Amino acid sequence: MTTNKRTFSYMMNPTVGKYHYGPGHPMKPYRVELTNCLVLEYKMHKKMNIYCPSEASIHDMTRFHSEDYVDFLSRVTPNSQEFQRFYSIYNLGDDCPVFTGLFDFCKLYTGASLLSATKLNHKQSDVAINWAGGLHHAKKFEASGFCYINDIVIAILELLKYHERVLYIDIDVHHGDGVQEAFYFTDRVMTVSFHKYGNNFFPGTGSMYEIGAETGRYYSINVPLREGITDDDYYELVFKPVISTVMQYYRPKCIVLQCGADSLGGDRLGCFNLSIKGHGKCVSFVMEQNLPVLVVGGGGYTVKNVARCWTYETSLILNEQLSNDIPFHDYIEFFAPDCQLHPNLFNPKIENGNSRQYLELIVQFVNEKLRLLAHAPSVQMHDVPPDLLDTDNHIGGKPTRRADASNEFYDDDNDVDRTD
Amino acid sequence: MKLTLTPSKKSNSSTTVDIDSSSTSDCDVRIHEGSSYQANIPPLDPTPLATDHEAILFWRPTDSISENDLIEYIDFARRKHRMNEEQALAILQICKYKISTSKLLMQQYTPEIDEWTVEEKCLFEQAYKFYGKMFSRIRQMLPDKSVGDLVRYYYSWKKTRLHKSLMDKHEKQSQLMPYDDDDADSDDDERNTTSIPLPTKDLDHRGKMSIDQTGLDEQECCNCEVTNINGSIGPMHSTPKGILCDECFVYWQNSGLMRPELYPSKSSIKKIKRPPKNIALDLDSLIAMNLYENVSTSNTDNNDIIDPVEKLEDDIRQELAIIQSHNQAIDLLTNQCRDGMETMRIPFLTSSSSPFMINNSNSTTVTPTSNWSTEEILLAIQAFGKYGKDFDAVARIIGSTKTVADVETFFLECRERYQLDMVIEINSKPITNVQRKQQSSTTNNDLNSNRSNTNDIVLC
Repeated sequence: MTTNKRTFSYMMNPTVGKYHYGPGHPMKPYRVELTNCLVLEYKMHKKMNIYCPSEASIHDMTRFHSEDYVDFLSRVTPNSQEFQRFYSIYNLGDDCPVFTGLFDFCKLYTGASLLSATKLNHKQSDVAINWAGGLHHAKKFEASGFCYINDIVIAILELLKYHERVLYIDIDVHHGDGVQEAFYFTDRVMTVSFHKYGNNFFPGTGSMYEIGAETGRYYSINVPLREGITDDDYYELVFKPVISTVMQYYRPKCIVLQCGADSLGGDRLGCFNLSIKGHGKCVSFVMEQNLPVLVVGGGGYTVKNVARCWTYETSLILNEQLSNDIPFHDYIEFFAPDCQLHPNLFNPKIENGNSRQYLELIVQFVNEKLRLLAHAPSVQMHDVPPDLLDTDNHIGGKPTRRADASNEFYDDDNDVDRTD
Repeated sequence: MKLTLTPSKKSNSSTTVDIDSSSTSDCDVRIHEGSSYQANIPPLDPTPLATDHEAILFWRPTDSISENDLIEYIDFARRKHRMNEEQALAILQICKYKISTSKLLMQQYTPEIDEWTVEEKCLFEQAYKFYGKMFSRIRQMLPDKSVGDLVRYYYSWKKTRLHKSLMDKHEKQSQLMPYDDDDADSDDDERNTTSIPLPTKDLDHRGKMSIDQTGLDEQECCNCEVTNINGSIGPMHSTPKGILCDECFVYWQNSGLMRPELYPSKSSIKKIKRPPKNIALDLDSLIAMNLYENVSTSNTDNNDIIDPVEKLEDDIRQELAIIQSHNQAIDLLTNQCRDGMETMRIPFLTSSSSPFMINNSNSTTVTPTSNWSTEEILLAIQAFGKYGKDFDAVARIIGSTKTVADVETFFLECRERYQLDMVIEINSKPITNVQRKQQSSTTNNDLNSNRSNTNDIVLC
């Protein structure tokens, strides 16, 4: 489809603001509600199909997660003795507290991501947006980093049914470890993550040497950064070159973009110094690739900045221009006193630890690995999907059957003229 | 760092994990490999399946309704039925974009508005003070509401908590600077009563500005109400604040504030009870409000009686909305001006697009040079004349070839050469409207006189 006629879907669930992680917890589902509010106020519904997504079922979640983990999540209630014994097994407790409505919340955002993926699969939409999703830390059998169910993995699994190669881009300040781990061994999903690395910053993985394994070797890209990176460095020196090279060598059929807003300046947990416009540049660059895109949310712990950022990025996706003054609505006090869409987020207290040299070095390393991609034994252009993990055992593997033409004069595969 | 300080606790939990992990690691954190960690990739199957999701489509953009109609419809929904925008649009969409049918449907459809009674609101505030954000505990005090409703209410309430009413602000101000302002007095008790300005003794006194000095000594000091009987205290002074005794007068002269009272006041209504500045009160509107309240409690099912307080709140909302939309318009116009300015730039100075555009254009800016070409100098001189020492503005006019620092250095170095000071001075005298009119009228007069002269000349 031409860019002029792109259809956009927006997942809007009216109850998403009703969940609360608990006192003092930085993750606030309410930020999605605030974003939805702003999007409607700016009248962006004129250009999008708005859906109230259905909930995901346990069956959907067990496509990735282990059954007992999902079962536990569905049954657990807060403040009950009998379940607390199991908390440590599933890494619930401090970071990932058990709160009222936990499983409903998980079903909500997972269902939205799944629906977005379905829309893209059936070509009913070119771009699908789900700000409630993007919880990329959740692992197969445990919660992690405020994430319980990894909706991104489940959505990608759905996309893989119809697209040969999926590119996953993660601009959250934390490493997208859950998604990377899930697809570490496969070449059908390439995971690219830009994040802060070092000093035991959560989650601790994400060095540039994590490039994938076995069939998925070279199909994981990590761009570890130091704190305090600013717009120009991030976009011009790192994001744009890396993603351009990835597009060139990998040629995905569709893209999943996780727009964690904790890479903005002034975030409660993050330590980068991006502005909303800088963050948005990355999103528009991805849009320019003219592929089906699934946009999800992610981190972001300063609620008003998250809402501003995601509203702005929705406008970039729709190619709308928004005025800098937020229109008056019920929750405008959250954006007081300036009520601007682009406040100055630069935090001068955080020094930029990323020298030009360092950034160039990393990009160089990434480029080297990507170049090896073209010569990798499992060529990415094939359409036949590889079986799980056994693909590198071609020797002595199943013989491929070829259709015999009627004028062929040979018996079978072993009938060769010459033995090499 | 996330909430807690621990990165993932893999090494400790490996023994308790009941799933067989195919790889053991000695590092604390690493990407784990093995079938128990990876996802199962489904096979590629491009045959499209029937769509079987049960998601509800809320809204699809359409051309069949004009934008004004849509806005009007949403306003109507909000006003009449207290519905928010999503629900209104969803209903409209269900009725296939026919506004009349959707209005009918809205009446039948009772949206799940959280009706919070005053008691519930009070209970919530108490519970919040007690328990903080533990909504499960708060729920114990308010069992009718689900936790979700509580959370929702909390978010809409938390910002209003910080709202100070005008009376609160007034009181705070009066506490900080007592007696400094003519209307700075208001007591807690007085606030709840109808604070219609009652004529008081003091009002009379202040009003009268005591022209005659003779009657002064028999009056009370406004501040401490001491009377000068039998010449016990020095002369009374008349001031804009009222009649003051000697001590109060000296205090006021030195500090500008009224002397704090040492003794309890004699009269109960001592100070002037005026409402704060922005409140306009009159008896009629208060009576009317009272009347409406009484009436509305009796006719609860009649929707036509509008609670005046609500009406006022709606008015406030509308005004604020108008303000914001004006802000947006201003913003738009400013940006248009900036863009328009670009077209008037001399082309050879700037070869790139304006840095002020909203759209993220990936253009490169011309690098600033330190040589000043004659055209740039001319521009700079004119700019200085127009804007004075506003280096920022001058730099903007010249364009992206000169940074603000360059302009500053130019100014410092070439001050005398180009007589920039004089340029600034000549053009900096502000022309007021009066002067402009005079100028224009003088020019008109000149014209007229010239014309009349010529006429005369012609005629004679």
